[in-house]
Amino acid sequence: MRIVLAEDNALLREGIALLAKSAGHEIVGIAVNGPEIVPTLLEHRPDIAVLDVRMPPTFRDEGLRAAIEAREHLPNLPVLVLSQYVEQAYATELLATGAAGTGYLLKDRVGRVEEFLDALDRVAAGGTALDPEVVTQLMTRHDPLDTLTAREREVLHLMAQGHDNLAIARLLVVTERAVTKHIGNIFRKLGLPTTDSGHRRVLAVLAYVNA
Amino acid sequence: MRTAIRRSADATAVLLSGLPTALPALIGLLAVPVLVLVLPFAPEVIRPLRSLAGMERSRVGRVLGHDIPEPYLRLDGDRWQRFRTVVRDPATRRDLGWLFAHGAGGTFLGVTAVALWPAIVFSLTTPLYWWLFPPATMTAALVELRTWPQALTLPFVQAVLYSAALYRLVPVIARGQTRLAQSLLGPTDRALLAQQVERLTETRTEALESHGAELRRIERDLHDGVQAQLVAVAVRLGLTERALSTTAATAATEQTTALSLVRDARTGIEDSLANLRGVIRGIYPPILADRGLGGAVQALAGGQRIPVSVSISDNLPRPPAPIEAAAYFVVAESLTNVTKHSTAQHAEVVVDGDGTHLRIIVRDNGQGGASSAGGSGLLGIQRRVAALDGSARIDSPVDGGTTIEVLLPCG
Repeated sequence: MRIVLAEDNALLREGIALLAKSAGHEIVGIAVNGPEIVPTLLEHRPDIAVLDVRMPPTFRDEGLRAAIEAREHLPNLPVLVLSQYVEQAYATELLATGAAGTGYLLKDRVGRVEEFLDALDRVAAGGTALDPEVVTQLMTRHDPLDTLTAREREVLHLMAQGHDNLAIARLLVVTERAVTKHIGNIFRKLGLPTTDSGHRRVLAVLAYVNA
Repeated sequence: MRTAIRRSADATAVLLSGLPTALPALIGLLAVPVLVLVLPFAPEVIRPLRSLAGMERSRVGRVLGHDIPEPYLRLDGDRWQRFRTVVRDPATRRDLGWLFAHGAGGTFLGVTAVALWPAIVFSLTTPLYWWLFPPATMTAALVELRTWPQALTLPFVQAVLYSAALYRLVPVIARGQTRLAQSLLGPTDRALLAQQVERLTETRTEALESHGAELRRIERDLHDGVQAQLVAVAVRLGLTERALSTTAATAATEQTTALSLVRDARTGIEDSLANLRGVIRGIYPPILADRGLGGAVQALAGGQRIPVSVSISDNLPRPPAPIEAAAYFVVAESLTNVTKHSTAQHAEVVVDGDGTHLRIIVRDNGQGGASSAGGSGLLGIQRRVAALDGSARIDSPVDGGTTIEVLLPCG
């Protein structure tokens, strides 16, 4: 997989490069400040862009803005945004450009190598990877607490993060059939269309919590 | 040139405007012995002096652009008490001091300043007609004019001297006159106090500014330094973990031990990262640095379970960082209260300010009855606001919704 990485902190740049290499990916381009991001992406047209939110020169949200701008030039470019803190408003802005091939994770998660690499693959394949903290923030806004059981909430949370049934089953240590049942209940209770399957279902959940 | 004339003309006007008080003052000066003699029997005899001083106060007030308040102690009680009050009042002595100064000098200064203008014209035109007069009757620059060379130089020297006096001396004298009246006729201690408050306000603004810069620096340092380092360590641990779990095991138990150690280390780092994020958010919410107060409040409002309308005045000057951070916490805490306790269907946040104060209003249509005694976030809001010299008002009648209004000084 060919990756363009935008990260101004040398330590993190090196760490992420190390990770990518360990999984057999290749860093084809690096941007170390905000204005470099979009040109670097246009030059290399990578399989995925991994962007830091806060970059020089202003150390505000240039990474996020670049992600949104990049989507205009390269609509199908998978983008994984990394940040030192997550903000539901940023997630909403990012998801507004399309939830397919979109990721928004805390930098902390990079340490969970398998999970991070899994998120990278998922986003590159057109899936979604949202940080659990983002999902928690989004769900505070639109809390289905009253209608769902604790387990169903857990499942909804994991779905909103972008996991598929198999991954949810593994994470919750239950059978895939149990997960399917929970998801059926969630969709019924929340009044979401049940015919959708796979990633479109994730999108429906996102649309629900992000409403 | 034009500004020089402007400056001289303005100063002349000031001295000229002193004439209506200077002439009565000159007469009053002669009446002072009578005043002193009559005062014990009729303390009201001080009144004309005070009303003259009052006229001067309003004149000087117009020059300065702000009112000079009256400094007098109140006159009441019997005649003897009133007499004592008049004598004891430092303003009486100061009024007399001003009467002497202005009475003696004010008339002369006003007339002289005005006379300088035609004097310049007169000097400049002297060479045209000096020869019409008998020799040595015209003078310029203190020299009697007898010859043409004299007549063609000295009047100009004199004009330059007069102009210099108008440009250099008159403004200084006008300012001196104004200052003298201000300091003698104004309230002294109060003026001093006001100055002190002004100075304190200035230093506090500076302190707030540097504190704000410091906050941002700490936030940046924690993010880019400590947090980045921890993440980098976590990455390496994660890679080690991966390597250990995939290598064909040599001694299976050793590998398991190593794995669990590495895992513990990584979990520890993740916990401290989560802590660190909490600490940073508490010091200075990062979204404030990214988007300013407006964007941050919008984001807060958007994150609530109930609809929250936000109105923020567009031309709000950016407040110092600590004020901004406090405002953010007030809104965050208030909205948390709204969703937790109020059963409101909607809420409203208003942020406006006039440059000296930032005002935050959070209003909901819930059940009301909130008080800071209930252990809710209200006490926290009051403390945080009080620490910055602000004020917080909570209006929460039962069944009447809750309004929290906070005023924060911006420097």
